[in-house]
Amino acid sequence: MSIFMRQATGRTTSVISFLALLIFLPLFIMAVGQTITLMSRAAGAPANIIVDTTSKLEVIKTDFYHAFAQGGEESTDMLASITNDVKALKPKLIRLDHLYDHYDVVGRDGNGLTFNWSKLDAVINTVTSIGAKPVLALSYMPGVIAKEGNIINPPNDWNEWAQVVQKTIEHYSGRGERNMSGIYYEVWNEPDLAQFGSWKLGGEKNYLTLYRYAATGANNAQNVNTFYLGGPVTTGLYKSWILALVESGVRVNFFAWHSYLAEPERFATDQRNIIQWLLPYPNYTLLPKLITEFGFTGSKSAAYGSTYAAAHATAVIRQLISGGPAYLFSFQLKDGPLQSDGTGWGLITHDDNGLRKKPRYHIYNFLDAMAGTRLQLSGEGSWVTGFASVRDDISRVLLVNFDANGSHSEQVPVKFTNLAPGTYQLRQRLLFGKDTTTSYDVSEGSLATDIFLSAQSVAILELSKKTN
Amino acid sequence: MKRVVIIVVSLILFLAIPATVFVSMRNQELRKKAAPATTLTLTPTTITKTVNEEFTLEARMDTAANQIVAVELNITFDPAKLEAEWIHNGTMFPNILSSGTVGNGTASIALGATNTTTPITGTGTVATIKFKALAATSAPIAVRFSSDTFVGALNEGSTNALTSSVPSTITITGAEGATPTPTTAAGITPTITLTPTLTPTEAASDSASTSAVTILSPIKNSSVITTQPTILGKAPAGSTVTITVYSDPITVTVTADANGNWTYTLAEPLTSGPHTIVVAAQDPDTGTSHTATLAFIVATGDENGASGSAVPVSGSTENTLMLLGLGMLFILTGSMVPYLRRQQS
Repeated sequence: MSIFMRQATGRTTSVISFLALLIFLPLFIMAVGQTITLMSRAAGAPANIIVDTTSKLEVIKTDFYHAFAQGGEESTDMLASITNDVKALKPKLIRLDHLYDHYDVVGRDGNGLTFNWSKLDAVINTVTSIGAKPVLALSYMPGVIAKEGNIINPPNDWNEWAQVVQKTIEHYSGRGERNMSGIYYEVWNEPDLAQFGSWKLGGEKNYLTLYRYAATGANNAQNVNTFYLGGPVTTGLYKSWILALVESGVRVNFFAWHSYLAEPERFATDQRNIIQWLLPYPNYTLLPKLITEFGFTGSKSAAYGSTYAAAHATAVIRQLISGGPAYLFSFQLKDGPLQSDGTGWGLITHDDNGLRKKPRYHIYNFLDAMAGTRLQLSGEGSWVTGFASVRDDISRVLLVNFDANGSHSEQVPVKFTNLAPGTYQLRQRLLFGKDTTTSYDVSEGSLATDIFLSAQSVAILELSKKTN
Repeated sequence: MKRVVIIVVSLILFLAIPATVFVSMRNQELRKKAAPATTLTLTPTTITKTVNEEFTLEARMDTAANQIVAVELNITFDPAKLEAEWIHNGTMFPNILSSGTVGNGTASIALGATNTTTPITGTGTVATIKFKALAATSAPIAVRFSSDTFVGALNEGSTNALTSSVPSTITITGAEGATPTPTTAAGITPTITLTPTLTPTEAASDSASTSAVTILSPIKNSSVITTQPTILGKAPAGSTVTITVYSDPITVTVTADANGNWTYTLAEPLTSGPHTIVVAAQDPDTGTSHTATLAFIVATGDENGASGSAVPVSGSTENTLMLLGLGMLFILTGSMVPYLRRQQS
């Protein structure tokens, strides 16, 4: 050190100082930005909701959030014990993974690969008996074809992987077999996660190779109904993965990814981002986008058993109610075993914990009341967000108070404008609370009220005009 | 010997950078000439409002021969003068790809066709934006499409099919509650005519006559950094103002409002270089004709830059800047070598 100090000239010192400045200045700016972000989280704007009852927008789609995923925490038919509870959720799609490692599908004899669908068919039968279509995550590598028998490794022969995919599609979408139409097949599940192989966009464990051979298998499938092949099913929405798939030139019928984000606004940002990325690829811009798992954290959390999870899911649905994905899959339907501490991701607790419905279970049908034509709503705040609709001359406002970081409560002013004179009934329904109806005389064209929303609460206001 | 090498490399760099820029611009020109011209227009193109008044603008598209799959509209304006209340899809695109968002001086929405087998063609309203006038303007302000507005079309690859856009020019008066007086009727775009009622010549004096007609913007002999500048000025109230821009020439007529204000933003981009504006108006009361002339320069080589028009670019600013930066780095490194050698010896 002392030698360096003795030998360093003033000019050398200046050069080193300049280089240090170049390196540290961006870091300093980044740190300041992060500090401001953290400080700003503590502050926010209250809502002041105004609904224009005459400003009609697009028709609200409610199907998109009636999609659910079931993880493979057990290698059994996990949904068999909750079919009635799941049926009540009116699911359109139910996603399953672990197809090849839980249900002994692929074997080998002297003539090559063999396929036994009996166990997986039983699970699929449960899904269809509920009234939903299965979404099948083609995962993981069958042990009999995987390198070293490891289910998260590439196969010894890529053509065998293509054959597995082909046979799966022919079995479920094949006209001579299960004859299902419009099935979504995802290539793998969370390939970027170490637990599922830490696949990359290059190297030996190249997801693009995995996908390309899956596409080969899909294209080889004979006598099949319409089906969809997609990916990359990553743990988040990553531009490099999406564009790599696009630019690979192979068959892509939809894009799928997972989103575990505490901030509901990030879901809308993701939608804007993927559209921006795909705009220069006109043949891909309009392909369906599926968020095949979502939540506020990928880790197990006791909050999944609280109103926090219900408010978060509602706030996410509000963000995606216009311009959202084709389907948004809540993860997951049922907890795994040994989660009596309440940290499981499920909407329903496990059999060993009473098969109890958690708060999040109740939002889907509650939100369905909002079906109709969207109305212009303004004045959302930092915590309280919402949307409005009209159906059968009843105007409705969905409000959700979600605070990702605390326990914020709020008295929310709500004003309905452009009303014809007359007497109106205003019904206030809290998801877990009071249900009251009040009459109002409207002569000035608007009706102003307010509603108290405690932390992590959801409410619908319904305004209808009395006929006499 | 090494010094010679350094000099040669530096010279190559000096030649390569302008050559790259030139080739990029050439490609851009070729692209503009070859592609069908999809355009976006904010209507009304000229409007006068009072403070606190709410109004809507329509973003209208003419696809020309393109088959449009999706569009991302990004609109910018002065947040001190205007507030966007909402942006919604119009009737042209049935598919909301990402919901409309409004911010401080911005409004955005992404829309698409139902699928690629039924792309959008023709003309129609892409989106409607509702604004509130916040403060009076001393000169008309523009609501325009920002340069990242993108129109994706079949068979156009990754190229932006949008070739030009027309902003809306808004004057906000401070007289709250006063009746707004648009310079043109709402929804009517100033008409381009090849036979102006008055035919000023380029040889007209380079100064305003003693008339009441004046050109307030652009400023005389100034440079503008947009290829579609807004021309505005004063004329007798209610008079028909004929604006001719040489040397193309482009001629349009607009009507001065009750305060004598008139404005027009060029619908077609001008080439870089000197231009002359000749404005003529006939006083509706006296029948007297007045003219004013002004010279200005379009000083932009980058049509995707400050103009606000989303002209597709074959070359890219980033690449050029990177090349320039690399060049500078090489030159800097090269120039240090003799010094370092001297230090070593």
